[in-house]
Amino acid sequence: MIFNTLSFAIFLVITLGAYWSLREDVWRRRLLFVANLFFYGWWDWRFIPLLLGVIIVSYFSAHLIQKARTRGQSKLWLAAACVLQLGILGYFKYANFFLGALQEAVERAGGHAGWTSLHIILPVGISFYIFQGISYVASVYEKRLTAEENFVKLGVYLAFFPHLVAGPIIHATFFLPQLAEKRRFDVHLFFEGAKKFATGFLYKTVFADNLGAFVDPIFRAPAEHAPIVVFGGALGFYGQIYFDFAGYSLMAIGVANFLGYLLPDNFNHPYRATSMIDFWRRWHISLSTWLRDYLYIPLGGNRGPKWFQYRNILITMLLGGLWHGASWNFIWWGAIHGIALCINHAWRDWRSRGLEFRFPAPVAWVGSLLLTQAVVFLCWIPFRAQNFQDALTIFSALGQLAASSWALAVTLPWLLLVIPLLVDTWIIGNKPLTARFSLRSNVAVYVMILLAMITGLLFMHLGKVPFIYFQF
Amino acid sequence: MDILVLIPVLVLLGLHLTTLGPKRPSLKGAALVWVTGLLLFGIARALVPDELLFRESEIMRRVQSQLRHMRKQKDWPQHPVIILNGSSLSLVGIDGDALEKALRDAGRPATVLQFNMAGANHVERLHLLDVFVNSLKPKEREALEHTHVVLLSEVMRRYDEHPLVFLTKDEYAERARVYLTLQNAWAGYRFHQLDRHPDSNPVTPLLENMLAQIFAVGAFSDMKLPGRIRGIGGYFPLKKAEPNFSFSQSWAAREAEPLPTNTPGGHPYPWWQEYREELRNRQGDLIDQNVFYALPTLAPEEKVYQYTLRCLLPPGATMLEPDAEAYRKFAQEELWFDAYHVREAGAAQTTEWLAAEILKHWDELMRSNPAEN
Repeated sequence: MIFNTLSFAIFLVITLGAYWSLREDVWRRRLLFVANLFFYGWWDWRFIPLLLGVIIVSYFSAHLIQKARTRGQSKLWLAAACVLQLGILGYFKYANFFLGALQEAVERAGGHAGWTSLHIILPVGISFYIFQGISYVASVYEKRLTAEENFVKLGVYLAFFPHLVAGPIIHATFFLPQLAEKRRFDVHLFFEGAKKFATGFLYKTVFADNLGAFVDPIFRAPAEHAPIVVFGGALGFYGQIYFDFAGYSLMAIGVANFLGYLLPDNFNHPYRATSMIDFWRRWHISLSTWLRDYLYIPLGGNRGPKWFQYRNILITMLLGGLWHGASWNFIWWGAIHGIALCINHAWRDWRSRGLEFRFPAPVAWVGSLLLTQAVVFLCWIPFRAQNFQDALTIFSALGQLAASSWALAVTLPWLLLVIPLLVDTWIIGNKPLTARFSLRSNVAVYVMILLAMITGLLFMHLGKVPFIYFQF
Repeated sequence: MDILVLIPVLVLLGLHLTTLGPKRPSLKGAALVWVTGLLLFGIARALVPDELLFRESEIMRRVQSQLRHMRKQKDWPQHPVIILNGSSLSLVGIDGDALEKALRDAGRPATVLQFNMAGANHVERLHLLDVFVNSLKPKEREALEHTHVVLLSEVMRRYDEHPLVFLTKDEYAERARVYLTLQNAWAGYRFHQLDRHPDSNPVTPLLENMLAQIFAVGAFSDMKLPGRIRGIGGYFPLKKAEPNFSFSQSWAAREAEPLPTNTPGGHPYPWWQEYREELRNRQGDLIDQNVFYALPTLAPEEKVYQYTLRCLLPPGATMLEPDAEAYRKFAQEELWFDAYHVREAGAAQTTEWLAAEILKHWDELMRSNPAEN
C-alpha cells in the first residue's frame, strides 16, 4: 500500500479509529502488531513469515545476549544475530549480484561459469527492518536497552507500518521507550502530524511524481536526447529523489504522529549543505546515523591516524552505497561520496592549521555551496542511470552542453524543475524566516492542511509511481 | 509553460507559514472546516464541466479533432454521418478522408468521423460518444438529430475481455479517470457481471478510478494553463514500421485450419447486447443504424471470433466483413505490420474495401432502425 492511494487511506482510517477507540495500551499494541502484518502482507503475504522470522531472531538474540555469562559470550551472540540477519539480507538482495560478478570474473579469466542466476524476489523494506533488528540487538549488547520481554512490543517496533517499507530507520533506543509509556491522544501532535503528512503528500504526488514523469524517459534512453534535455533530466532527478524520499519520510512521520508516536526527522533540507560532511548530516539522517553508530564507530571511527579515519569513511560509504542496491552503480555512488567526504575532512584538517589567506565569508559560502551541490548533483547520475554505460553517456552529454544547441531548452518544465527546490531549500529551510512570518491560527492550519490535500489530488501524477526507496 | 506549479508551491508555503495558535486545537473544529471545504470543492467541481477539466485527455482531444473535421464541411447536415468506433486496428487501418472521398466519388457523400482508440473498452466507447454529443452546439445537435447517423462498431476480440481489465495498466490510468463517471462506473460494474471469471475483482479499480474522476484527480498534472485543445487525428498510418511477425506462418495458419463453428468456452462479445442497450438508452434518438464491422486479419483466433459473432447476430442484421475474395487481395506480406495491424499500403486497401462494403450495404445502412440498434 503506497501512502497516496485509496486503499491506504481506508486502512489508515480504520486502523486509527480502532486504535484510539481501545482504552488499554496492551490492546492498542496488539492491534498495531496485527495492522503492521496486514500492511506488510498487502504487498506480498508470502513475506510475512520472513518479517516474523526477523522479529523472532531479534527477540531471542537479545535475550541470549543479555543472559550471557561473559562479555565474550554476549559478543558471540551479537555476532551470530548480525550474521544471521545480514545473511538474510545478503541472500535476498545480493546473491544474484555476487553470483553475476563472480561469473563475469570467471569468464574474463577464460573459465566457464556453469551456474545461472537464482529466482529471488526482493522483499519490500527488507533493508530497513533488518537494520532495525541489528540496531536493537546492538543496543542490548551495549546495555543501552534491556531485552524486551514483550514479543508484541518488539514486533510493533520492528514492523511499525508507517516506516516499515522505506524508513526512516529508527534506533531501538529512540522508539522502544515510547512503547513503554502510556499512549494518550495528543491533539497538538495529531495536527503536527497532519501538517507533515500534507507536506509529504505534496512533495511526493505533485513534485516528485511529475518530475519522475519527465525524468524517466530521459534516463531510459539518454543517447536519444539532446544535451540540454539530458541536463534537464539530471536536474529533474536531483529534485525528484529529494521530494520522493523526503515526502515519503514526512508522510511516515505524520502517520506515526497520528498514532501518538514520534519518529526522528530524516531530512534537513540537504540542498542547503555547504560541505559533504554537512550534506550527510542532512540527507537520510536515519541511515547515516545508523552507519555511523554500527559501522563507522565499530571500525574505529576517527580514532587513530588520518589514513585510518579515511579508510573507515570509505568502507562505510561503500557499504552505504551497496545498501541502496545490488549494482555497481550504487557502489560507485558510495565510493565517490566516500572520497568526497575524505577530501572534505582533509580540507578541514588543513584549514584548522591556520591559512594565511581566507576567502571573504560570502564568497566562501557560495563557493562551498556550489561545489557541494555540484558533487551531489553529479553523483545522482550513476545512482539513477540504468547501467554504467548510460551514466557515461549522460556525463558525456553534460560535457557537450556548452557547445551544443539549446533550442530545446524551451520545451523543458523549468518552473517545475527549479521553483519547488528553491522554495523548499531557501524559504522553508530558513527556520528564522518562516518563524518570523508565521501566522499563528488554528483555523489557518486546518484550512492549509485541507488545501494541501486538495492541491495534491488535483496536481498529482496518475499512473503508479512507487517511492524510489521502496526498491531498497 | 508549467506556470500552474506556482499553485502547489504557494500552498506549500502557506502550510509552512501557519502554525497552531495559543488556543488548544480542536478535532471537531478541524472536521467542520474540512467537511465544509470538501463540500465547497464538490460544488465547484460539479460546476466545472468535464470537457473543460479534462481538455488535454485523449478522449477530449479526439472529439475536438473530429468536431473540427465535421465543422469544416458546411453541408454536413445534408449527408449521412458515419461514425467509426474502433480499436488500434481501425486507427492505423482506415483513412477517414480517403473513405469520404471514395463514398463521394461513388455518388454517396457522407461525413466520416473516426473515434478509434487503442485499447478502448465498451464503457470508454460509450463515453466517447457522450462527450461528442455534449460538445455539439445546440443547433449542431438539432441538425445531427435530423441527419442519418450510422455507427460502425468494430468487432475485435480484445473487447471481449471484461471492460475493466485495462484499469490495471498504467498507460490507461489517465484515461480511466476521465471516463469513469458515476454512470460509466455503474455500466462497467454491470458489464462485469457477465464476466466468465467471477474471481476477478472490479470493485477496487472501479471505485478508485471513479473517485479519481469525481475529485478530478490529476486534472492539472501537466501544470499548464488551459489553452486551445490540441486535437488527435483519427488515423495514424504505420509508415516506416518494419513488420513485426512472420507473415508466412500466420497466413499458412489461416490457410491450414478450417474455421470451427463455435469458440471454446462461452460465447464471444458477451457485452455487445448490453453495450447496444446502453447506447440506445443514452443516444437513442441519435443513432439511426448501429452495425458491426470486422477488419481483415491474419490472426486465426480473430477470424474465428468474427465468424462466431456473425452467427450470434439476429437474422437480417448487418455486419460488414471481408469475404474470401477480399482476403485474396490482402494476401501480400508488404501490407501487414503484424497479424492484426496493416501498414500504410495496407490501410489504403482496407479503406478501399470498407468503402466498397458500405456502398454494397448502403440501402440497409440508410434504413432507420433504432429498435434493432
